[in-house]
Amino acid sequence: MLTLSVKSLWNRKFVVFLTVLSIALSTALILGVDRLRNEAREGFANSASGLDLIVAPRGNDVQILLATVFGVGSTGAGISWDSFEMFESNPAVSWAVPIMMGDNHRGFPVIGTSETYFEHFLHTGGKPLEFAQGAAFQGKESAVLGAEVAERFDYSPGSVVVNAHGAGSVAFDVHDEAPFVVTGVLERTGTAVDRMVFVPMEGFDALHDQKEDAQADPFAASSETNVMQSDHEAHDDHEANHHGHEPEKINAIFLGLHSKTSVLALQRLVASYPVEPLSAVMPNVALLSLWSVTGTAETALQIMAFAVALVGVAGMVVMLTASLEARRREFAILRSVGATPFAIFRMIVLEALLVALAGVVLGFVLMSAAIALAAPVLGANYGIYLELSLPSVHEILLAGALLLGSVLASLAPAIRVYRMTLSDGLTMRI
Amino acid sequence: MSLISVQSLKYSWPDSAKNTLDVSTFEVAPGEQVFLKGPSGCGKSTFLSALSGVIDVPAGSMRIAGQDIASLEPSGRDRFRVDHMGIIFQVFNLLPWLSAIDNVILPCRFSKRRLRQTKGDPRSAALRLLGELGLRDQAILEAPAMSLSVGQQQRVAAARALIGGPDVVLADEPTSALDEEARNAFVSLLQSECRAAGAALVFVSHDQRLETQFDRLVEFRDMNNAGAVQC
Repeated sequence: MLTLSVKSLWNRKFVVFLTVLSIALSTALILGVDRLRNEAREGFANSASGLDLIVAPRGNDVQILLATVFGVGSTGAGISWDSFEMFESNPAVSWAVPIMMGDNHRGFPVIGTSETYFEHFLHTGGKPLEFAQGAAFQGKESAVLGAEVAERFDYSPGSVVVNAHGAGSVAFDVHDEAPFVVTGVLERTGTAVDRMVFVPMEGFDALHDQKEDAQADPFAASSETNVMQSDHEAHDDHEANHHGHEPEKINAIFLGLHSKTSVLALQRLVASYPVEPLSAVMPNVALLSLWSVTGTAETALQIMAFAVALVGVAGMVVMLTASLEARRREFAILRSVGATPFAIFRMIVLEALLVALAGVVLGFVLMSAAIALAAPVLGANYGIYLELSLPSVHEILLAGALLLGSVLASLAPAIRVYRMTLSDGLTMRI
Repeated sequence: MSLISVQSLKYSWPDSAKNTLDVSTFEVAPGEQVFLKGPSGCGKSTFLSALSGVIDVPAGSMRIAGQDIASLEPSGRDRFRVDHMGIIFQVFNLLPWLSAIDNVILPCRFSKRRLRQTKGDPRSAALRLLGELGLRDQAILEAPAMSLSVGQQQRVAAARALIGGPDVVLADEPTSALDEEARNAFVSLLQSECRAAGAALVFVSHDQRLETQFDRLVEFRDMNNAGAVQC
């Protein structure tokens, strides 16, 4: 029976191929949308997996998360260094890493931080950052690059990088008076870290100290400079501590806690911090609210994908139904050699199953090929890292649903052919 | 005992008031070769449909190989047909996308009895039959049936009807698409193969030039009381 069906389909290979292709495309679309969504979520979760809390000036959780962990957008006005030290010395806190933002290097975010970043930041289920080449900061004009940045511009330790103010890749305000020398390149992590340029806070500050002179608003400039100068004096005697440099303001603090159970207590403490208005963001909670925002678009995409699948299956039913008239002779011959009407019914369903199966398999191949082609582009531009992998259980279920749908849809032509063969008998009406 | 025994068989198509068939008696002995003669439109094809169990006839009016096939379920009749009968049509006998050999083997796919009687090796049986029918060229045998000539197709159809030793071969105008020379050669071959296989042959045709070669001639006009009016 199977060989008969296969040979019969092969006889109509052009139409069958088109049908298989349409099902393959819809399968690729359904699985692709699903894969993209899952990989994006997983990638985001991996980027933030080692952080217990992110402290930033009071603002929206999602915005704070996107800015600090993914380098997208920025947070509000700064946190004073005193506050940083206050949180760092809290007994529940295991480690604290200062984060400064606002510059970019050819479109990639520049993060001002301390060497502690490389010691404490964990990604993808608790993996530490590793250096592929070189080492952490050596002096205030050094820079550490994420793997993607280094690869894209062919940087290695010793290269000189110049940063620009702002977040876009079109730079109007290039800090070419303050170049950095690359001292290290990080191993690829598959997270947003790959797309970041790290410089010591000292160097980050240096850029902006010089910049203040050119501030457009003279009042803002003068008051800001005064505050900074006074702070500098006040903290001069601390210069020798393990952070090496004490900036005036930082944009965020990454916190690791000794025990996860103290997260809520610390979050409350931050929220009620009397000195400045701050928020403490739990990355996972912020991600959930991010997904609830993007969920609508994902649902729309999924509905589209399923609509395309419906069209593909409908095309197959059309193909099977349209061929029935032309195949009456074939069915009569089969009946004359002993095929029951039910056997011919089964043959039609089997054909549908074979076409759908070929479509689903080809669809998976197409999706894998598309991923292989698109992965570098997506990784470099959006920080979404797709990997080729075997189908997940969820994807197999989706493919199974498509197969089941095809078989159910094929019952319509199969029932038709059952009636037809019953009434035709062995005489062929030509 | 007769292989085929028809007694007072009446049949009318569902939407027709008049009987299409009204056969009082028709007998075929095992191995007998019967020429059933008559012009088109007298119910010959309906009669063959009745014999092959495709249409519902009253129970008890027809026995083949001892079996009252009208009393069987439709699926039982389908099984009975392939187990006991080989059928050859006028034209378009073969599945065009199967090779000649695969076409011949088809009944063995659907009938365990026919498969058993090829000793479980339908391919050799098909090759032997095709060889006896003059088809030996391996290239022809493996090519899709649609690339064969009409004469070759009819010989492949004959081989398919004969494979696995059915009790009877029903042939419905199998020579009408052949020219005279091919026609005579085909009928002789079919008869000798039926004889060799021990199968009876019911050969339906309007072509009286063939009738002398058969054991017995039956005028369908005389046999079918219903058709006598029209024909």
